[in-house]
Amino acid sequence: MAKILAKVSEKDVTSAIVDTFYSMLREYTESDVIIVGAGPSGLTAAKELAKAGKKVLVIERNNYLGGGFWIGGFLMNKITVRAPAQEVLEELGVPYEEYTEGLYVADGPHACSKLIGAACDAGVKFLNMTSFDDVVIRDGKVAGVVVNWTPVQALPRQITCVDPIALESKIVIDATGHDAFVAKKLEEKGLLKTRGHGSMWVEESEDAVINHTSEVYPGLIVTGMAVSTVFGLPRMGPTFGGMLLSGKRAAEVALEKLKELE
Amino acid sequence: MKIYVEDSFWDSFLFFEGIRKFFRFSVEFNPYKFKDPYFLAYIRVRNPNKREFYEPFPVEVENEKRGLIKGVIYDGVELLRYFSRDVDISEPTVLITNRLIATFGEDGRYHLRMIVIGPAAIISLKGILYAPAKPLQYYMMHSFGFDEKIDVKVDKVLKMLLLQFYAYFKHEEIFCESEECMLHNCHTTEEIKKVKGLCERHRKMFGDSVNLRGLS
Repeated sequence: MAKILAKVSEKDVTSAIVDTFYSMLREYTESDVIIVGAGPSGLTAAKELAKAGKKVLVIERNNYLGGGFWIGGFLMNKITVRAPAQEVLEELGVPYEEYTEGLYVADGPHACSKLIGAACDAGVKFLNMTSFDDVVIRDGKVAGVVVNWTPVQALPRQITCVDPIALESKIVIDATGHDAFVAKKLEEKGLLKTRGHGSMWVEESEDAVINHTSEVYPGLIVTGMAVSTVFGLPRMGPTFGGMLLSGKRAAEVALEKLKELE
Repeated sequence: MKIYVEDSFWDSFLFFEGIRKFFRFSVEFNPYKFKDPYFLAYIRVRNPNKREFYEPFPVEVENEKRGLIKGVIYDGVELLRYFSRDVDISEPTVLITNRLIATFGEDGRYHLRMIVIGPAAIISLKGILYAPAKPLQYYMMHSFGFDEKIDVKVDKVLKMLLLQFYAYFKHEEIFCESEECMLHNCHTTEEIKKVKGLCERHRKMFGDSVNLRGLS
């Protein structure tokens, strides 16, 4: 019986993984932009920046990319966006329907996988199963991140004395959701004061997130729900338009900053 | 009575005529603009459980200048303090704003408000929509991401609030226990619906000052 798949040895498989991963890692020890968090805002920012020709690395602590974009509220896998964010779904080629005027619904798995695919197609590189540990600060500016394998955090300290590594970039984007891990790390160092997100509900919180997506410390831009935490904005409901548009805004801000640095 | 309307929505403010007809005395309308974007950014409510003010980020001041304030909540007491110092308040003076305002309560939490009353008053049109508690159905639909219509007659509530401030300013009269009286302190949209006019006592006090026709 003829073989279906080409014959390769075990060591060839291992070498392929090791060689390509490490050459990518080596190349991305320095990037234009490092984005921490691969949820909808981080992925959108990454895709836009890579499309603009920038070298972009995304750090994601989970194995899977996409954050909460796979499902909507109450574990139901329909995602909703409010106008004009359906235009982003359109750009991604995600089918959607108008549920009521200005409110659009799409399948979470379709939307999320298309967004991940678009980021990959644009040239974004990912380090998944990699956790943000610290920031690199140089000349009063965020100049990169310190990361480690996610499993290291989950094991007892006495058997995991694994030092992290540093990756440099001109800009870092905090897309870590309500945790705002990067901004909080700056707060620990006394460099920034986050406000903590509010619990009061207002419909306009998505607009507020987009409007406040900005550079909050030299070299650090916040996007998505991290914006709520840094600025003390009200919580949002399970709609994703604000996340997608905040990601776009973060990319615009990053491009402006990169231009200033040229 | 002097009523200032924040200039950002002066052109789209729909209630000039209704308010003029409601009061039997003269009402003067003027546009108002807050002149200090830094201060507005400074007095934002950041955390519902803490009354703390922070040095604003540059983008917050910039957004104030550009009017990009959707979703922003302001400390109503500080906003009123600023307004009261900025205008002549020797006669009843009210600012109608489209900003969301909240006050820090004795329960250690901020609460959205329709009105903040002091030597002058600030009424929030958005507060009229968002501050009163809604029926359970509204919150359930919201939790699933649906925009449920808010069932509030804004013009009616606006008249109620203006009269409440007038009653306080002229007679230091604070709220009425009668659920049907315009001076009742309503906390829910259902309570607002029960308001029909003035109770007997307040009709004697304010019957000559207001025209209750068409209040519903």
